Amino acid sequence: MAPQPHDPGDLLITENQEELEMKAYCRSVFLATLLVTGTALGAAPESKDPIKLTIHDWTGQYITTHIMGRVLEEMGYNVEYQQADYIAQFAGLESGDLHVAMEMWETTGKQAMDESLKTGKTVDLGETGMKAIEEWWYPLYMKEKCPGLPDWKALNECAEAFSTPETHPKGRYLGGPVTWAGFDDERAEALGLNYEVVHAGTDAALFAEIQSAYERKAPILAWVYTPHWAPIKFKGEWVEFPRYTEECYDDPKWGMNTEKAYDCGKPRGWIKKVGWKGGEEKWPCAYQAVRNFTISNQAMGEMVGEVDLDGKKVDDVVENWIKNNEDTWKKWTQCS
Amino acid sequence: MRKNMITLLTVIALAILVSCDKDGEEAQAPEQKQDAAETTPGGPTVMVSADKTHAVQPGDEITLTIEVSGFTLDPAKMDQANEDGVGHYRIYLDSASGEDYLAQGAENTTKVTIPETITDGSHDLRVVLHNNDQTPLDPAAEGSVLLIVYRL
Repeated sequence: MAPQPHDPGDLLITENQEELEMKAYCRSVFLATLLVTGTALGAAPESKDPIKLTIHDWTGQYITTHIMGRVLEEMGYNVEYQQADYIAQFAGLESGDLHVAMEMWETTGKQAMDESLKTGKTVDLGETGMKAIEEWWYPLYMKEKCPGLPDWKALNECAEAFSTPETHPKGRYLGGPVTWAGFDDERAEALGLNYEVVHAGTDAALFAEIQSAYERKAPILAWVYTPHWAPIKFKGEWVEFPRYTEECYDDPKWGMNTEKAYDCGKPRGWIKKVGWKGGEEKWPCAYQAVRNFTISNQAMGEMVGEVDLDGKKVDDVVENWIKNNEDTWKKWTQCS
Repeated sequence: MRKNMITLLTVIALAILVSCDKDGEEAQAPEQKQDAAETTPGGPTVMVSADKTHAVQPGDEITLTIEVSGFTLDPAKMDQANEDGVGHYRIYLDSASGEDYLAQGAENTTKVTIPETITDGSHDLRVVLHNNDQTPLDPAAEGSVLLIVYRL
């Protein structure tokens, strides 16, 4: 005969205890079943050694990398985030000191990636799904001073409008950090642009200067890329250079300047993942998950905006994405 | 056989988890993002969202969802005599006005084709309320959505 409760409070305690015991039992059985299932799968993680994901200095890449890192953690892997130079990281990826880079942009990293893949020590882990542009950009108020824009041929006519006391009468173009490559010095020379190319020290410095100029309606011609918050916050346009072709970068004879390469705009297109080749054997399921990773410009643009415009923390934005997109990332983790 | 066993074990594990947590917190639905909204104080308001705002290509067809309050959208009244609080909208690109519109209508969902001549950069799609006789409301009432456009 079951003990009779003495009062409603006792009844509540008894029910709570039973519920707690039942839940504890359920969870034990669940974990045991998962353990058996995992063993049967021979599933992740194949090694507890940390997978080193490289991080750079722009918000979108930080978000992409941390989403991937969180998914790998959910799969049971150990993950480390390693600050690395965007182009120089290939040395680390080839040696195995670094393992996965989540954003290699066709716009700036294609040549370095192609060179690295030729060594056979790195592996192309596929496109992220995002499509990129990074090019010379101006705020719309500058179009009033230079109505021939966005055609690049208007740039020389407007060099003074884009000049600063330090560069006058030459125009000033604010490029990205030198580590981003991009060949803007070569581009200005090949196209005969009467501009001085100045490189920002960091991503933050680049956009701080753009913001400062925009708020003052001061002249500014600068490197702006997207997915990024800048084109959301600042109304502006990208300069239309002759369209990029591989020959433009490789063959000086191509294009309007038959003696110099880079007489065209930057490439536009994919953002890929790339990894240390040896990682495919060491963490095959993790690498498959990285290959499966895709995200849209729309989703990334919104997350970058949440961080850089709304002031949310990257970790919070990433956790929110993980929480709300379980159906998406769980598919990445399926390992064959 | 091995696959069947794995599937069975996975199903059992999930069933246990679901039954244990059935009283737990429901997973939250993804946040519905309103891309842009503008209001005219004291007058009708227009809220606009789009199915695609990033990496938009010239020629893309964008689906706009238009929510209007304080105003009735009525396609049957277009080009009829004016009636207070009734009309339709026109969709403009950036600072265009007058007859230079991309589309007009009175449905809550509509499609707009992005012109091939659009420049690479940031652009506004503006939904502007109009009276039945094709004049814009005065004071104006409009909402907009920002598009990031670039050719690939």
